[in-house]
Amino acid sequence: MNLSSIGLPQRLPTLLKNTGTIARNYGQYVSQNHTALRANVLIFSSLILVLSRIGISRVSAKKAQGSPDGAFRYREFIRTFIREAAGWTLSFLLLRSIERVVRLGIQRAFQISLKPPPEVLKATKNATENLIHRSQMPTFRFKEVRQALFEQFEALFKGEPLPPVADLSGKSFYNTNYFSFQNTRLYNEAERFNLISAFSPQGNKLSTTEKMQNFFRYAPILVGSIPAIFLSGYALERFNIDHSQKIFDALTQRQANKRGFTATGSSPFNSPSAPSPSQKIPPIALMDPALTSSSDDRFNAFLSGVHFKQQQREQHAPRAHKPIPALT
Amino acid sequence: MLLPINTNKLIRGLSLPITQKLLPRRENLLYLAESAVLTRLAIAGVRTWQNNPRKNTNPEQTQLEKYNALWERCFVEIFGTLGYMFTMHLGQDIMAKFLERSAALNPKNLKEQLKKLLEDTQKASASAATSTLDKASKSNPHNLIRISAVNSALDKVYGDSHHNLISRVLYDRATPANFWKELNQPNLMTDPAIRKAIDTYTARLNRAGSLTLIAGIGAAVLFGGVIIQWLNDRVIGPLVEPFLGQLFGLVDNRTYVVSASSGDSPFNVPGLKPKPRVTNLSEMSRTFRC
Repeated sequence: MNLSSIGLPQRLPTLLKNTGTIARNYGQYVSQNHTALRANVLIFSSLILVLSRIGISRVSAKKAQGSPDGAFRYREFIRTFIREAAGWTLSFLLLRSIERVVRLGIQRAFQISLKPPPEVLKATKNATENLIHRSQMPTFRFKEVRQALFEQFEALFKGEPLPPVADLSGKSFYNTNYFSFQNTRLYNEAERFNLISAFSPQGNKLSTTEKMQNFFRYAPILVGSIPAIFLSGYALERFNIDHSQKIFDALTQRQANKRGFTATGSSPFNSPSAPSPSQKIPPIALMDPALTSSSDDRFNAFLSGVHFKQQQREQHAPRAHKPIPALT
Repeated sequence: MLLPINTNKLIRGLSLPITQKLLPRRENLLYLAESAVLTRLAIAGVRTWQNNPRKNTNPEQTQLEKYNALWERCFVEIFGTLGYMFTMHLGQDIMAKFLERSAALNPKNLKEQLKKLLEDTQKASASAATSTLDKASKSNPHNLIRISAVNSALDKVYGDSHHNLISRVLYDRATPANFWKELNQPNLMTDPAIRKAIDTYTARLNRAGSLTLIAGIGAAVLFGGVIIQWLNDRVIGPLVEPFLGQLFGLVDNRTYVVSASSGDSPFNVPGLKPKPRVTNLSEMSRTFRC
């Protein structure tokens, strides 16, 4: 099978047009359905906020290199990275996951479905609801996009005419938010205790069921927020305070190693003619022996390494063909 | 009261219905809980509490650094989180006010459009009617009832003016489904021209709602993510923290070295000038590059 045998050159304009219509329909559906965006607006914005905070913190740490605030700023960058990235995951991802699990658990316990109940579809009592369902308000979710694209390409490769795509521009997309009990016994029980409207997402409050309705609404949020606050607020910050120093040490050691400045380890400057390892201790440690084991030492070594490199570049740039005196 | 102005009254006076949802009232509690505002505030509080220098047992940090970390947490977590939420809702309100000026979103325009549509339908059916009896059945009072039904349903769900319209669409369940339920007129719902006019209007409203939410996200990220973090790193850190340290009598006893000094070291390069050692806070703040 080649492209000309399936008639691609002739059918390409139709294919592109249909794909464009599918994309436009999906764009309209997404722009009109702000339910998910509204419920998660703080979470989506937090995600972008986390990324921007980490980025700015990194830039600040880089700019502070060579200043006395450099070590502190670099340490704060590491802590910000852990706090924001893991904090977002632990708080919001966990919060929404647990909320969803609890909500689905409640619905499953009462065998509630969010599909329109069969009696609504068949009903003749309420003409409006019946008409809404009969007219089948258009939806164009991602799985429908996938299905529509699959149909187009399936027809293309089978050599069949491409199925037409309905243009949904100007249509209004919305959800009717129905729910239905799938079990008659549970429905009768709920009706007996006047609890049916307590499950309604529309929030049709009745005085007798108000407390129960609030419980069904608040319980998943409450259950989800407790571990989120504990893990993201307490445990993560505790970890950050207690263990971020190790990450800081490891990273600065790595940076220093890269540049050949280590307090005790090997360096690229090692050579038979090079000084002994004891002399490879950075100048700060030589000046202040009390600070030899401090991590700030390694950071200062890292900083001095940066300066060393920069000044070396400045000094030798015009006569780069000559060997560097310190290395010969 | 800390401020000489009543913030509650100010926000109400400015007519910011979305920002008002942040006020700690009973009717706002569900919104604050559902959209994770309370969770985020609680997390910010716990993080700041954990940064208390008494709880920070890191031996590598001086007492001054521990306090500096606390000031930064207070600024970013408390002030930053509150400002982030405020700007998110304020950004939505500003964008909503801007969009509500559009004539296409005004319910009055839809009412006029529907009225015209119903009159046209009536004229067409009257001209097509063959008998006097048929003409009488398509008479004016019948059409007036239909117009009043549409108007009352629009007023109930979307309101009678464009003021705070997008706020109602986003947060008060002013949805097309509720509108059709409220209308409850099968003959109007099946009329394709009327249906198309209402669908187009509701689709526009929903798109305006999405745009409003995106504007809120943008404003919040700009303030909470960019401005707050920048202020924290470039203003609070180098300028405010040394001042607070001096104010509370916190002394940093650590010696800071900016660069390699002269001495017998393998890193010494001829021509490399050593930088001065910085030993106290005032010099630290002066030498920091903003």
